[in-house]
Amino acid sequence: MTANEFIKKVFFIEILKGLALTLRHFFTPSVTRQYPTEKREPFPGSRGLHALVRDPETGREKCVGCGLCAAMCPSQCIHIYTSEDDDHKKVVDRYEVEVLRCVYCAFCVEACPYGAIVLTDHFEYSGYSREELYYTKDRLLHNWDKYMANSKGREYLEKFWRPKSEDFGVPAAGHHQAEGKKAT
Amino acid sequence: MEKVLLKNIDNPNSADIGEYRKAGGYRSLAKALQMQPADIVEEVKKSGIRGRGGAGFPTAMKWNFAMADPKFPKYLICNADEGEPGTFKDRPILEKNPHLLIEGMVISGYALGAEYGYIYLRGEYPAAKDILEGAIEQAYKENFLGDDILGKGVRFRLSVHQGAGAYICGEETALIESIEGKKGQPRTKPPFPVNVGAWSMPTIVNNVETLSNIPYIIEIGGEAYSAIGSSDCPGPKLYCVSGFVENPGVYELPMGTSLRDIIYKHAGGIKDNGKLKAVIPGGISTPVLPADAIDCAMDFVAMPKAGSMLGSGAVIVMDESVCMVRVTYRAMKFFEHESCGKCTPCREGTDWLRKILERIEHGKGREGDINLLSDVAGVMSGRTFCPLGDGAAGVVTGMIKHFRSEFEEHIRDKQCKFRN
Amino acid sequence: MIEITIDDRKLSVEKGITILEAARRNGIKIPNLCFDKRLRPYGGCRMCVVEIEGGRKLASACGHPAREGMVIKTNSPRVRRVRQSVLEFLLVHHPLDCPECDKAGECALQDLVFEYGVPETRFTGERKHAQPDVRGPLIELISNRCILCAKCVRICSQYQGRGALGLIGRGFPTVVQPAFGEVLECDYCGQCIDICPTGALISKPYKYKARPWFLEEKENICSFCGVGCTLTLGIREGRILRSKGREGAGINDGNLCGRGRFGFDYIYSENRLRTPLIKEGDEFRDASWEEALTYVARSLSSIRDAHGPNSIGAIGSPRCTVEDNYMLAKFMRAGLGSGNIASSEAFGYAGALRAFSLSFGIGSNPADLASPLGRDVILVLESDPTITHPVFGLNILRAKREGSRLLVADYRETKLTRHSNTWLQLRPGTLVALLNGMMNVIMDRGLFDRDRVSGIRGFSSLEAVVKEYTPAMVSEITGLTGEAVTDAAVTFANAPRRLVIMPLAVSENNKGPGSALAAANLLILLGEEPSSLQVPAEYCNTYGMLEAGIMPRGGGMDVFDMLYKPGHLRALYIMGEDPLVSMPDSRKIKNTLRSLDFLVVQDIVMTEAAELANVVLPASSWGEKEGHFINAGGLRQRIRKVVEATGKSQPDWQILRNLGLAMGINLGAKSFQDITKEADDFIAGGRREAEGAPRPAFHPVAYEPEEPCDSEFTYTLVTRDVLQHSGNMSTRSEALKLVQAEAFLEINEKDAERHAISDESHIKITSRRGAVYLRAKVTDAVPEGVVSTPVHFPSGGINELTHFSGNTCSRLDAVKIERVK
Repeated sequence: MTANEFIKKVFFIEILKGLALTLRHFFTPSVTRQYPTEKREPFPGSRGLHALVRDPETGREKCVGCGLCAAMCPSQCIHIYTSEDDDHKKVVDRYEVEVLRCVYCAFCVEACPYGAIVLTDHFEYSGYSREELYYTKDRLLHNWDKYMANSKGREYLEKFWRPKSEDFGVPAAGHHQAEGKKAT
Repeated sequence: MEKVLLKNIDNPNSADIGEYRKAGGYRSLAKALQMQPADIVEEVKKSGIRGRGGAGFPTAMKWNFAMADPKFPKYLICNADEGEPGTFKDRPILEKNPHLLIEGMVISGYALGAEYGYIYLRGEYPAAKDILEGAIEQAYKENFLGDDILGKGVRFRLSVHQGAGAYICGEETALIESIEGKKGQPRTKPPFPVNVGAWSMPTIVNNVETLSNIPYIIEIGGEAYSAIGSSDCPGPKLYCVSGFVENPGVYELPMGTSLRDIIYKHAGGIKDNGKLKAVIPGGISTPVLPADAIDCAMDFVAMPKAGSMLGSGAVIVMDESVCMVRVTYRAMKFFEHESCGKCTPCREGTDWLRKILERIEHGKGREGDINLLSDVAGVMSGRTFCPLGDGAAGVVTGMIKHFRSEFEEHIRDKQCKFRN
Repeated sequence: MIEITIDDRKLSVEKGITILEAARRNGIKIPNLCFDKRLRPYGGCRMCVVEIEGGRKLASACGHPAREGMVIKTNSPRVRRVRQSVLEFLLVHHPLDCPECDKAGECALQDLVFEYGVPETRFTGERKHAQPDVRGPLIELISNRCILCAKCVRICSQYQGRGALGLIGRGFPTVVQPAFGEVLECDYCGQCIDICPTGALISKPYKYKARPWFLEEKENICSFCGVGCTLTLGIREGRILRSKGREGAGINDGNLCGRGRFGFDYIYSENRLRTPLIKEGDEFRDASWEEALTYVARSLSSIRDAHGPNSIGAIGSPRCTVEDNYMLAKFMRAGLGSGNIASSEAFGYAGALRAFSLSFGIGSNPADLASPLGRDVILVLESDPTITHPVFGLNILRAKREGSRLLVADYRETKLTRHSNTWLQLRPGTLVALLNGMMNVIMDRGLFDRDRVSGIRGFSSLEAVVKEYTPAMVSEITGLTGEAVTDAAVTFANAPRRLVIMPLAVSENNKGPGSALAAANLLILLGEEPSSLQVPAEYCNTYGMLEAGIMPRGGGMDVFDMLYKPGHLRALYIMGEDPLVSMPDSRKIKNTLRSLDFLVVQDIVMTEAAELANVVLPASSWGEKEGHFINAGGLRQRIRKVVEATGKSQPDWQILRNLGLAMGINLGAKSFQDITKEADDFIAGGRREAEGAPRPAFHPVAYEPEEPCDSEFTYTLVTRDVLQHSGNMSTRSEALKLVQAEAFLEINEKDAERHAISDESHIKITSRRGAVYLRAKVTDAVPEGVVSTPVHFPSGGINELTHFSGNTCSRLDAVKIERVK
């Protein structure tokens, strides 16, 4: 043991160094967050709970029940049932997502030709039974109102999904747009 | 040249059988009935006559195909559905010289072994219908038609079938469908009508002018006939000249008369001493020729070399006051209206072309429209079911080839300078 | 054979076929939108263009014959460019509503656009004016999706012989429309739905129900007529949503009729039985299987012990599988020791079998669905196979198109009479007279080989009987002219290859075994084989049921003794049959059923007879159980369980096995495989026994008029089938009910006028046995003095009017008509 080492031992230099580090951290901002009392703003485009886009014009879902989302879904958690209404239009009777089986790949959003389904940034959901996390059409529309309505939803679709949301238009049956769309 | 097809035409009673016989009519029939059918076909072959309907297919060859088919009965159909805009060459024969056609059909029927003949008459020729029917009745009475023609035991029955006004029924298979009572749409070829035609039996479809040449061939013999006009496609030919000429009308001239002669020598030149701008030489579905390209012989061989076709020999003359875009638009409107709708390129293409031309003509043309026109016409040509689509595409490509600047001007100026 | 090269592959193909056909047969795909092998080449779509080496133009492969040494390129850049441009042309006006369209996912246009790339849409301008949709009960036409390939128009007129759709207009504005753009009124075969390359023609019951990729496709044999078509069922989450044909599948090769395509939904009838029912007082109450079976077992045992096994009878079903019927027969014979096993076929196909065995000396004569093809003359006798056996009927129409002469003897106008060369419109029930008259002419003119035929047993008696049927006399009976009879006889006798077709159906009262015998006489006279007499069995398993032993044997009672003579039976076990609807003179049957001590009905739905039962047992229907059907051609086809059984229902054979166990009888079948094997062996044994060369004999039949009209009952009632229904099972189908929901009475315009009856008005129709009320359908399809009605509808109660007698020629009824005020 050299004199140097001896002095270090006697005066607890290492311990003091350590305590200094501890002391320094008293004054640096912390990285952990006191979740759930303290919440983080999710990044834009993050994928959370599903929602069905509500068409502001009709007040109904934009979804036409084409079933492409269900076809693409790798965990097959989307179930769609459609029928014909009195005006001979296709209506979506049931649109159901088994949220517990979802893997949040967002293929459904990508597949949708009308931009009718989104993944909201709401990720904190839980329930005491499976039924609570079985989302029906009404609940999915409610999600839109709650989490994505107004500019937020539009921004989400415009920013993160192609074809861009301004390309989305639901043609009314029988009347097709006069001008053909440039395909992407 | 001695008139063959339009002989006796100035006689006000030329459609009467008495007048026709006075001028030597039905002598060829008597002569033909002395001959063997095969000899008649041989004479026709020697004459080298080619079908006058527009395609110029050697008549004798068509006949030989039909004769090689053993099925019976055979039908002989005269295509009198003269619907091509600018064409009115058959009309004088039908209205003024119907017995020439009847004689030609009886001789052809005898040669081909066909006992039933139909004249498929254009729906818009009501006068011709009455005249033809009258002539047929006379011919039956004088035993030039019937079950025992001239006592030779030859049978030939003839009737007139009037179309309902469809241009497409000038196409032989559509014509046959129409005669059968079906929608006038062309059929898949092969099998060709000479094997499977009307009611699935061998059927020969010939143009009025072609059949009207037959008596003359019998009269003077095939070899003498082949000396008339062009060597490749001999015979007299009816040219009908319309548009901006001094004397529009039907002219019977030897095949191969030059286009310039037809316009300037026979039709009296451009009206009001105007300047020639363009000529459509063979009916609307043949490509246009500019003023400097009219020194060509009007026959089946020389015209394709000049960049167009003889078609039906309907010369449409246009002078400097004519807007070529408007001509193309009008032509396309016709083709769109007359397309039968069976095949995709013609049905959709004619409509599309018409719409583009309409907007160019009305000053709403867009950049790239000319290329689009050529493109659409390009994918139509050669891919349609029958020649109608080809003709429609040909008009557009021909016009753009020769008068592109005029199209460009329309688009650039956003107006038609010929309109005031 | 000729040698051609397609895409560098050297092929040897038959001479005369088209390039497309050559490519198809060798597995080379040439895209097309307007080709179908059943139709003549059209060449309209221009998708099938190919490049032929040395050719100036591209050729369309569908119409261009392959020639020796041709070198063909099906996928060159030039060809691909043309196809792309065709697709661009089509997409100019085809709406891009794929997300809503039912066809998306199996759309030919969509697939091709996917393959050739979405064209850049250069077309800007007004789109084609959208035509209004044409809605119908089962088929919808959405005009603006149409690409005018005209396949629907052509299959309807060229193949189906109907011509309900047409191309209206010319050129660009052309549309496919039914007459005058009104609702599509047709056979509702739905062939146009399958053939449509886009979603322009769609099935209404399936409309917007599911996307094709949600469906699981399973094949099953159709449960209606005796043809035995293969259906491709689309099932989503345990429910059958649609049925369609698939090219190359089954004997129908993709063809289907409306019943097969739309009628499967009878298994979802709200009348389906879900649990065993026991009658207490006048009401039924739900019971468990154990309770119900114990009750049935006890009752049957006590009746057997008290009155002997012959007091118990059973009725089998042509709708149940071979296994079910075999099990019923075994239960009766081996279990109870009774031979009283019968079925409704005693009124139908069993009569044909009797005729075969008497005349040709053969035990069976399976129909051949391809038999009409290549015959010179086809004689169809008082029936319309395009109604009773629609897919078989298609072959008759095809034979006619290919040059056969079609003679149809029928009292009424049908699709077949419209397509016939000669329509012999005879009076109903006079067929035997016509056939005898034809034989008279043939004998008279010596149009047969006398040396060969005179040795056949019964020839002299035939000669004696037939001698009386001179054309003049036949003319008097049948109402045909003497020349018509003579012409028909001469045409038929002079043709080298002849065929007679006459289905014998339970529902028809204008023919009987006597008619089949008379037809057999005619054929034997001309030296024909049994195969020239085509009597297709009526229902999906009529043939199999009879082969499985559902017929009275060993002194057992037949259906006439069992059902028309009260007191012969004490107990009756009915499986899958409603004698009150399907058999004549239902009042008598009702009396018999009421007189029974014990009646068990085992069925899929509550039937009229079940209402009278002591116990009703719920059986699993077609699609809910495994088994086999044997079609009219004797072909054994597997039917599969594709959906779960309704309620507590069980397969019939299983119920019978369990009942056996409850009675202490071991029927020996542990599993489905066991019973299949056993039934198979039984049928094979039966077929071996029936083997042997035909031993023809003449059994002359004299014409016997049946229940002639008199001053009170002035009309002849003819019962018949309608196209949309088969037996009474199809009346449980909601889809088919959209087209034909209730019974009606067809009456000639002049007769209607006489009674001041208007179309759709109610009329009372009375026979010597009873009266029913029906809606009138005023038509010129039936002649004056004849009224006609379908028997399918339980609510119609037609069989209250009909009667049953010993007459083998027909069992027509005289009726009177009154207007209901």
